Amino acid sequence: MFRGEWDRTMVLAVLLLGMLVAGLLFLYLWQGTVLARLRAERAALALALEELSRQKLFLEHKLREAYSYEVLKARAEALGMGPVDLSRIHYLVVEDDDDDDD
Amino acid sequence: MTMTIKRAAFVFLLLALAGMAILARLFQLQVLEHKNWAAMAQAIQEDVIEIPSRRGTIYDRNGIPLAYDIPAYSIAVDNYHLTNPELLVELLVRELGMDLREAEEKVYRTGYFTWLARNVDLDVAERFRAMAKFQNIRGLLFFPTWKRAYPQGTSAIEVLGLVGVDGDGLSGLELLFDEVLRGRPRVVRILRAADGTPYDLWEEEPGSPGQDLRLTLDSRIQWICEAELDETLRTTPADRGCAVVLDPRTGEVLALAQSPRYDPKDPDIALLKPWAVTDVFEPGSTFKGLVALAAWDLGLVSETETFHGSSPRIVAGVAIKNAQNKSYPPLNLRDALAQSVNTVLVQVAQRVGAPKLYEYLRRMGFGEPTGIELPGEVAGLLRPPEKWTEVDLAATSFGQSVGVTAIQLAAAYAALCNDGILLRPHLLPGEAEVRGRVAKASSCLKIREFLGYAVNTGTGSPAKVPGFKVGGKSGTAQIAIPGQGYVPGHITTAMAAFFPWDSPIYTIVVVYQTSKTEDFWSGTTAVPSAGRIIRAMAEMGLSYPPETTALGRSG
Repeated sequence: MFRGEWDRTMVLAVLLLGMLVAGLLFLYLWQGTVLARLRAERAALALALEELSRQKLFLEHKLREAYSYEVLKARAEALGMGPVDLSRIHYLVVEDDDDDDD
Repeated sequence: MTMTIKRAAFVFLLLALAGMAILARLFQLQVLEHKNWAAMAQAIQEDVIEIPSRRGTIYDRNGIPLAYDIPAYSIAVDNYHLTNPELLVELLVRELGMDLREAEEKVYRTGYFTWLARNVDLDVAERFRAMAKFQNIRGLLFFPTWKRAYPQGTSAIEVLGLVGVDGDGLSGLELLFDEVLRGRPRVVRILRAADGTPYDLWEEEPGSPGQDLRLTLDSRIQWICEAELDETLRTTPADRGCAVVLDPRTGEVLALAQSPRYDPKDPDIALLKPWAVTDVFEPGSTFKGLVALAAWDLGLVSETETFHGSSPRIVAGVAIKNAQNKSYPPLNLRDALAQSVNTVLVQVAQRVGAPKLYEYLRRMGFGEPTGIELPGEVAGLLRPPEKWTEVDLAATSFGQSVGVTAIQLAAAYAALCNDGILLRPHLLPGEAEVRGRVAKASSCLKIREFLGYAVNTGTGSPAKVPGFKVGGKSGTAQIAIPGQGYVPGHITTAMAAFFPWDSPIYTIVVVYQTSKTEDFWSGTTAVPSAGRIIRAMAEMGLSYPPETTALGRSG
């Protein structure tokens, strides 16, 4: 009787231990998979970030080019602006009132 | 029973043999050939990517970038794995503008690796990749790389220099400061799945970007000078022109411009050299201001003393003439400089004598490189005084028989503006580097006053800008061609200017050369150019008139 109970307890303990090991194994594999997926996502994001930062630099360059002196000059000229034309400047000679009084 | 045991033993033996064969094979794969298979697996699963580091940016004095790296792609093909080659040829011609024959030669070559195009712009490369994918072209390889870009176009390109496809500096500052500008590449290892999806990524070598370079150049003044040179080349028979703007108080080079400039669309390597530092010319009458400074500093001339201005003047049997052989009544040094009278300056130089004049010219920096941070600078031509004849001394007084560079002339005039202290012209910011004293401060002030008069009333008047107290000296000289001597139609015109003359903050040298006509004068080329540069600087708000004008008071 005593021996039978002991056997049953042993079997139960082994079963429980097996279930625990199986559970831990499942947890390990599951978390491993999650970790691998996260690593893959991180790698993909790092590569995407690299690409985006390159895109950003390229767009910044396009912007700088659009505001270069040469482009601005062409735009200003298209709007009718131009350098000072000295021949179009007329000076007014203002007579000094004091001289008239003298 | 016995039969059954035998059969069981036979099956067991077979299974044991199979098991042993498997074990043996496993031993072979896992132990004996482990290294090979591991390396093969690594080659399939792992990619080591070397990401080229970004080369340093070159900025002007105000932090405006003049040259920097932008992302690009280099495109290659694995010809053995290429699919749809005829579509690739079409794509190369259409998207990259490649010649049909060149495209066919690259695509139909036999090899695992052929460069199709290096440093293709990012947007073009991405469009190319998308179209290749759409057309099911396989076997293409895209390598991320950097490409040098110049946001201000070709401005100062001969100073900045070029960078090769592999990121090496080839000329100008890019070559001289290659070690500083270039960085170390970043090495990244990527673990990939069979379909190429990245599983993991880690950095094996962090690398480092190149260091930036800040220059003393002011991109606005540089642009003004280049626009002026371009315009003068368009409207006159000038073949080429250059302009140098210095801050005489520090020796900082604010502009070093030339026209024509190197054009990447139509490359001409000869235009990559900054000829303001690499080529010599005879400075002509611009030298008179410096000869007068030597004479005044030695106390050999006075303000009231007059000289004969008749032309020609015979020196050692050689007739020295004024421009257009014009004779003048007796005139003092100030008027002689204003009218640019050769025969008077000959007399002044004769008083100074060859040894003393040579000593002064050496002190002004002629006959040796200025030390500006550009490759290929030359020393100029200044023979030792024992080799000078009387005619050489006379010719030197009006800037012939000597060879100078534009940067030397600008540095010497900057010393005149800096109360006699000669500084090394420099492109990198830093402490002013004193090279020596040229003359007394009082002598410099007096000669500047004379040259202010020359611009106000004399030959330099086309450079006059009301209110800015411009001083300077113009010069026109024939060009001596090696082996031929002075050839008609080959002329150099120059203007060395500064403002305001009593306390200068800018020194400007403008030089033009032609090989087309005798009718080429400084008064219609270099002198008005200097004036227009000063005017444009004022219009851009870079300089202000030193005196309060009547308009200013009323305002």
